Amino acid sequence: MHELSIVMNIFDIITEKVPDKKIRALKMAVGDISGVSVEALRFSFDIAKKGTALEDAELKIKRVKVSVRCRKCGAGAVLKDRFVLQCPECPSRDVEIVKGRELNIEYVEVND
Amino acid sequence: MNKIKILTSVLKANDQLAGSTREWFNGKGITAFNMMSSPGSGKTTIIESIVGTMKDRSSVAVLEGDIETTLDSERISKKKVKVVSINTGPFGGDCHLEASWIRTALGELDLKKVKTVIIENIGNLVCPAEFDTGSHRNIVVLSVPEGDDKPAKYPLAFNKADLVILNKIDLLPYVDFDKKTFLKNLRSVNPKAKVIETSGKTGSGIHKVSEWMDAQRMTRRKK
Ligand SMILES: Nc1nc2c(ncn2[C@@H]2O[C@H](COP(=O)(O)OP(=O)(O)O)[C@@H](O)[C@H]2O)c(=O)[nH]1
Ligand SMILES: [Mg+2]
Ligand SMILES: [Zn+2]
Repeated sequence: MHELSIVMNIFDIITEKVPDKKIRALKMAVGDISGVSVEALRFSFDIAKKGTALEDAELKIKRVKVSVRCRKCGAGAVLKDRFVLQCPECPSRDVEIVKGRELNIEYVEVND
Repeated sequence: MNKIKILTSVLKANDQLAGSTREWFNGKGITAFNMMSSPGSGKTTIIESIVGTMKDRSSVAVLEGDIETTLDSERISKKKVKVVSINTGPFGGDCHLEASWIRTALGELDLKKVKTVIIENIGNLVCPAEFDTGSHRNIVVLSVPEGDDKPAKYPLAFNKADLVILNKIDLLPYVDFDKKTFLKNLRSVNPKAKVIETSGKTGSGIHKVSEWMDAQRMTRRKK
């Protein structure tokens, strides 16, 4: 698992975009098929944040379910439980994954 | 408290580098294949067989990322093809290959005559699927002892596959693997991928993989 190196990437991005600020919270969007384990991400975050600008930051995570859109008829759907590529309306399996692969930093909160 | 929007993908830097690697391959007329599987599915064996049947072995280079068995590079170099081992570094980096390592490894190779690059990714079906290597085609190898449910367990890897190699087909009589169930599971995450059955042991089906790779090179050249 590479969650620790992902956390290091996240810290790099934040240091670049928001230099010299103490970060109070970090909001991430993590897709259900991003391949990242949220537990491992939290664990790695807590280890890696010591001594950095994110030392006191809270990690907020929004899970993103997998959404698909049919390339034939355009119908869209959020996948309920299992990851099955199938149009919700027509028999087509030619569907595009529009959500669910996210591993995004949405925002950080800082003191004014 | 003050909110600062960032809205960026953590993988953006990797994706951009992978994109530029692909452009770089294109400029050199190289087609790159990224091979992924669990440890022991037969990636190295299949690569050995493929290059073993090649007429012109100077036209292929192998990037060896699988550190599960450190002998993989030696196995490949015995076949007299260019091979470079990718050292993924000590820090949480040994579960997948990133675009930057591919670029570094490519720098160590003489690619003058090379038309095909085969990347043996690290034995793992979760992490490598997230990281674009800069290859043109993704190949996933599944061996029958691993079970027919794997596409459902590793949807992202199988979803990204252009070719799924079903290996160790010689073991089919001895294991509980139902091809119909496998295909159903595969099609539910990937309606399009080509499927080829192989045995690295008997060599059956390997020529079909070579033919598929040739066809990918041709379609890319026409574009
Ligand atoms: N029975 C059988 N064994 C195979 C086959 N392909 C590979 N193996 C064996 O499986 C083991 C792992 O293969 P290897 O190519 O190193 O897998 P990798 O970790 O994916 O590179 C080796 O002992 C191979 O000899 C096959 O088609 N049938
Ligand atoms: Mg190997
Ligand atoms: Zn439809």
